[in-house]
Amino acid sequence: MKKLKRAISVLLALAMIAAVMTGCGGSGTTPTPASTAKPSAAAAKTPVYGGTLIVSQSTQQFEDNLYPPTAANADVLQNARPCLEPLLKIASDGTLIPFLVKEYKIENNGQKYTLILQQGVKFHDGTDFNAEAVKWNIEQTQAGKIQTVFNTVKSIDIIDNYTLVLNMASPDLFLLQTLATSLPVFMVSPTAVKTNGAEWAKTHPVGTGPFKLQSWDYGVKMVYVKNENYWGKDSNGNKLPYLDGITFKFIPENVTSTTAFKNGEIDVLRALTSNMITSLKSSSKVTIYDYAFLQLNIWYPTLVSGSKFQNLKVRQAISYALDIPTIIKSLFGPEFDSTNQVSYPGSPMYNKDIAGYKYDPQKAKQLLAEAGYPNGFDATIVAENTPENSLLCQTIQSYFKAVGINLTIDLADAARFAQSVMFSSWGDRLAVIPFTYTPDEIGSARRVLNPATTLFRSTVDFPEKYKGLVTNLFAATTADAAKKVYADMNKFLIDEACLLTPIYVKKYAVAQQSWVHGFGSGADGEKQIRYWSPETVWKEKR
Amino acid sequence: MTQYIVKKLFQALLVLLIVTFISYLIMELIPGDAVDFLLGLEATPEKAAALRASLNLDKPFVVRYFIWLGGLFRGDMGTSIFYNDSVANILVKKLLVTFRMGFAALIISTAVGISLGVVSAVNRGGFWDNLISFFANIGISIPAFWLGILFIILFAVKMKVLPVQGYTEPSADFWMHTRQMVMPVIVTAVGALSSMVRQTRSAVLETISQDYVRTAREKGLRERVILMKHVLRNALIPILTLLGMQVRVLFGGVVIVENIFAVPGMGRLLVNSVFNRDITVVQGCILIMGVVVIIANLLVDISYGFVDPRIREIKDVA
Repeated sequence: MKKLKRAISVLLALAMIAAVMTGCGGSGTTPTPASTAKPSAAAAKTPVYGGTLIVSQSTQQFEDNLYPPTAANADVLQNARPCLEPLLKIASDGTLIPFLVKEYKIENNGQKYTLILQQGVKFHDGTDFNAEAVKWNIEQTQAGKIQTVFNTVKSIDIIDNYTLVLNMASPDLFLLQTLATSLPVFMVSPTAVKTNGAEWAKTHPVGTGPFKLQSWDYGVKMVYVKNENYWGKDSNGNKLPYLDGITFKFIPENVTSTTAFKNGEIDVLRALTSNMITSLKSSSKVTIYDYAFLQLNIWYPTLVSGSKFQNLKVRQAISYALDIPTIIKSLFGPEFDSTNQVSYPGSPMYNKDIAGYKYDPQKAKQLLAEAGYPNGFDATIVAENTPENSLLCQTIQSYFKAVGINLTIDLADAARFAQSVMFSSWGDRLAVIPFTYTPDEIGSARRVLNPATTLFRSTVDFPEKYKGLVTNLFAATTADAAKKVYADMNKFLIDEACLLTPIYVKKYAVAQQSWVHGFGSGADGEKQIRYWSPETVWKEKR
Repeated sequence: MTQYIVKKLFQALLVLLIVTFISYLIMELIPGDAVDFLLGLEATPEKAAALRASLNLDKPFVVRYFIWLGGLFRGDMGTSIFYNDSVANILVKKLLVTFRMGFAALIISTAVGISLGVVSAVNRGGFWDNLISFFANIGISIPAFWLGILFIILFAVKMKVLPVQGYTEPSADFWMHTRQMVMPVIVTAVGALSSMVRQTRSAVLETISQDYVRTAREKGLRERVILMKHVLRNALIPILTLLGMQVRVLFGGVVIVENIFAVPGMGRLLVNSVFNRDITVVQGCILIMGVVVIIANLLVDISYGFVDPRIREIKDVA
């Protein structure tokens, strides 16, 4: 027994020595670890100052550029938000909330916008936020030619230090909504960028926000610290922000991040998968919010000469061959839903008049025969290599086989997918391509479904009728008119031309600990996870 | 001996060149490049072409390899296309993290592995031998991923004595750093430790039945002296060989452990860089790993001579 004890002692000692040895040398910073004390009910009633909010998600892909005029990834909206601020904020019901723009005026049916700015706002480098800065930011976006949100702005007049007028080339009903929801309207300091260059600005965002970016280890951690000179105040006149800092941690393993969240090491866990939602739902102390953020579609190469997919009957046959609702229900979890159009059930843009293609393999076979393919044909489908796409394509393969289509699956990693599908013609293949609702269906359609600018233009043949509808969308002067045009566009894309087959809508889900408060800015406050307001977030003392 | 070391170093240089060329070639064969990531999905083909040209990505592969190699000989590992920072800067930070973890795991696996291997061999067929062999077999078979999750559930969720994940610099919070490193280090060490136990056991068993050990016993030497001076020293050659191989595993193969415990080390950097097509960082990681393995193998080779004078004599003659 003595020998056993001695052996155990030696083992423990060795383990301790090794653990201590790992602590030799090095330097850096770290967020405050979460304590394990229980939340105080009294403290929950009024905001309290202090604490670091730990936000986690699995990866930080495509988010290497935090310079709004050239950044392309909408996810940056969330991770850059602590230090960069938009001109206006938006509630989830679409109501615009004055922010850096404290007042606005729309004249001549959306031909002229007058913006009156907040006074006393400073960038993190100490320079003034004023009309010149806003004009400069808009001009950089226009010059960047990556973001198209200011394409309709013809000229900008500076009336005084805090007032400017945007003169539009054509009416743009959505400009203000864009100002509240797009990355290019996150204001950065012109002085900082002019001094250090646009390349530098990609990793050094200097905005007006409540926090400053202290360090950024790409794909590992982003550390924000409180901006002591922040301009904002809460409704009681108290200085904002409440938090001392915000840290984004990127934890690649979902099991680890879920367990860390359950253990209280993480305050907010984003981009939840089905397994994570199922695992977290059992806890009564956790709140899960979600919103529809993208849908997946199969696009047909109608512009590729000689492609069998140029035949409408072939495209319709494929749509009839798939039992989309059953596929989605059986393959995926609670954050997925099926749809039959470029919108999602429950959205104001959802067109109930779209018939779509209900699962009918007999009709699919009949259409294939009419199209000259009674025995089916061989085809290839290309998709980005994700577990979801892999599962989906295999299921599609089996459904296709039932109607005689022999499908080959090509799963490409992100880089190859971008190069061979997004940046060039994907050839005579079916392509599985996501469509994000940023800021909403119409906003995204203006970029992604516009035949003049879309990356699909080298593979998909958009008929003249559709092009006319898109022109009408841009020219719409009321929200109702735009909604009606969008409904017509959708009906044309699906029922009339069948240019794509919608597969699923994916929700972006976020879990939040019970001790975290103050997310969002709209009527439904904390449900607004996409356009969140870090300045109002606070944590109960634990 | 000096000549031998110099010769080995030249061979190592050649190996490094071949390894870096092959890794460059493999990266070239994978479709897509960093520009696709840098510009994002909504960029235009024209912009992609312009950026590709500015990063030399439009040049032939061999030209780019020699540009990179030329920079390396001038002490410049290049600039990361993705991070827009010096590769050396990026690697130093990550290497330190992986090195701390790998070194601690190496110490544990070697010290504990050899000790348990000897105990097991000396008690061949007995309770301790069976117990140690049983756990060594489990240790070799158990995947690091699964063991990591088990550790998290046991030590972080149930016992709440260790944090689930994360990495803190020791200078920022030494105690937190130590607590965060316990699970990754042990999980990394388990596989290597188990292999070491089995290798030591088998080497010691082979040596223990030799005539000179019997002679030593007949001479009345104490069992501890026989074990340390005659058995263990003669059994060390295969153990040292395994040790050299484990350095490669511990420093190059920790990516799974780094992912499970969210440790920002070099393995995680390498995987991310492959996905991002950041070829200069990939080359830097491969080069560092190659150097570590070559140095480890060289040290093992040299140590053979110290452990067994006969090998030293052969090398000197050669």
